[in-house]
Amino acid sequence: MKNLEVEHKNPIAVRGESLWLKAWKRFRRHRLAMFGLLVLTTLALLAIFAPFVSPHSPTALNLAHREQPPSWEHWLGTDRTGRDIWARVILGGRASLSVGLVAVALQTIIGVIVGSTSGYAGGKVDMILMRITDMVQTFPMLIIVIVLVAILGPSLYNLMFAIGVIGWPGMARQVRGQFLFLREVEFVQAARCVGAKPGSIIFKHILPNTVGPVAVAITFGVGEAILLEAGMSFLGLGIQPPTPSWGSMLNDARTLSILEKMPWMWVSPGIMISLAVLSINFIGDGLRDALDPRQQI
Amino acid sequence: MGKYILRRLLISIPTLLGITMIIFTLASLMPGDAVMAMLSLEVPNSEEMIAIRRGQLGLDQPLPVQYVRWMGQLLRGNLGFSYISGERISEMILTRIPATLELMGVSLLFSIFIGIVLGVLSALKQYSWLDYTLTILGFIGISMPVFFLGMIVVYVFALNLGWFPTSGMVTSGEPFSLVDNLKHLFLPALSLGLFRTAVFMRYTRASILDVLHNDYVRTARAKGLRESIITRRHILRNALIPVVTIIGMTLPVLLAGAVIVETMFQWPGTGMLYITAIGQRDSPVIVGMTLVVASMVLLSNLLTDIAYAFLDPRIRYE
Repeated sequence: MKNLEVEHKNPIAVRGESLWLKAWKRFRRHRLAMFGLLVLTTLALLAIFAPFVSPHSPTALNLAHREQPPSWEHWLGTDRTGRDIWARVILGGRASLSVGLVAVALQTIIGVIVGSTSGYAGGKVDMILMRITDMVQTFPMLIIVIVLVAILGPSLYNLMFAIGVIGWPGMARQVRGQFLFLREVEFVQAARCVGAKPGSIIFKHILPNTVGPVAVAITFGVGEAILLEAGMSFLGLGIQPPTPSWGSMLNDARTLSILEKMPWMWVSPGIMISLAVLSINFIGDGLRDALDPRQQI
Repeated sequence: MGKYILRRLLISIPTLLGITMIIFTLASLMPGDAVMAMLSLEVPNSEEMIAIRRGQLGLDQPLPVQYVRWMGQLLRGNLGFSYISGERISEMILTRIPATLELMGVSLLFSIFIGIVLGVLSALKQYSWLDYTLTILGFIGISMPVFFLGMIVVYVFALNLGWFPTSGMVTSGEPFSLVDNLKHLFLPALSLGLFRTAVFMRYTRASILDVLHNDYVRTARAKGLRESIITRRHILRNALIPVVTIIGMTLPVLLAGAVIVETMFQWPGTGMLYITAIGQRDSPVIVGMTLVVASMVLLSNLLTDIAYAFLDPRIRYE
């Protein structure tokens, strides 16, 4: 209601705004989403500039300083071999965030290709592609990612690949739904009537209109992929030492004595995973609200 | 109704077939095979020996032939034998299923109940401080990895307060008692259930807010019905139908969570069997488990669809 009043007072300023600017304005009002964006940007910057932000090396062993609680010297303490936890935690963001981004990029490529083919072609092609999508979706993600990693061997790249080739069905369904809807919409019918080729209809008229839902799906997908990576690394099937990752840091701290007496070893990586995924979920929520065309300013 | 169920059953047959093909392909890609596993016990291993053994087991046949033979065994309920222990895989899985079902069932029941109650409260008091608090908590619930939550509850409730044991299913050396078993169950079920509780809560809230502004709710109010009757008869009944779908879709996620939670808490269920098999590269067990899990998911999808059709009469006549 408040927004309507704004529009009334200043109609000319609103008229010139693009849809994207309007979406950005709606996004900016979503306080949780802005919080998420801020936290995620900070985490990403820390991960990128990790060597410059920490006075210690993330992999150098220092047995004289092992198992130390947080102090001025070691901000988040040290682990069992004397490695600085702050240095490892910020560097660990690289593994998690990059797995999230690359895996979801792969999911998006496969999902958009399958979804748009299925939705545009319809009929038998649609039937076959959707049955394949059903099959892939029948496997719980973690279970099948574990199988793929058992075949390929545990590594950062194999994990990206495994999460990417398994996680696309949701995206494909989303895109297919959009295509089924948009195919019948007037402006697409009009394009077809004036003789636009299928390629131009798909790429110029339909795909650009699916960007909103796809962006939302990508955001939530990144969060899911980060949780999966963490779970795999926690099970020892993900990123291998000495490269730090949040999940494997928790895996290192699984013994009861560390759990009880040295909580600094597992609390900070745990908080980092939760904070990263929480921020991404906030952003996804904000995007969904902002990109929903039914929500007019 | 009968027709609908039959059609739904028929659709899942090709899906199940496709799944067995995917799993068989993955299995053939897995490093090591039965011969290598057996021969490692018999010395010396000549190339000829290996070839002869492969021939005896039919592993020199083309993959499609092997697939058909494997399917034949599968239909007779034979999932094969473990490379490591030589046990029947169907038996290994069957003996561990009750533990997993206990863990999943209890945590699922609690998350459904608590999730729906909190979701209803949150929606009926939209924009109150309770709603905001629950919304934030819900976000935290879906963002926290299950193992981090597990470590926190062990730290607080087992190590510091000493209320619950840290792992296992019963205290070893003591005769089985239900109280002891439930004490062991509490922390793993709690870690497994929080994520789902948050999902159910968020979903119930959204679903109720959708229904709240429908014409029939306004009509009921205009008729002068009491608010409690409107909530129960008009809002909840309609809003909870979609929640059934989400409950059905939950099974895969719970199974995946059970893998991690069972490993953490040394809960002797199928999840732990799976991780042990991965560690030992025991591919027949991995394949068997994957197949069982996929079939369970397929079954739960089927049941969800049927339950949905049962609850919402509009679906059947489509």
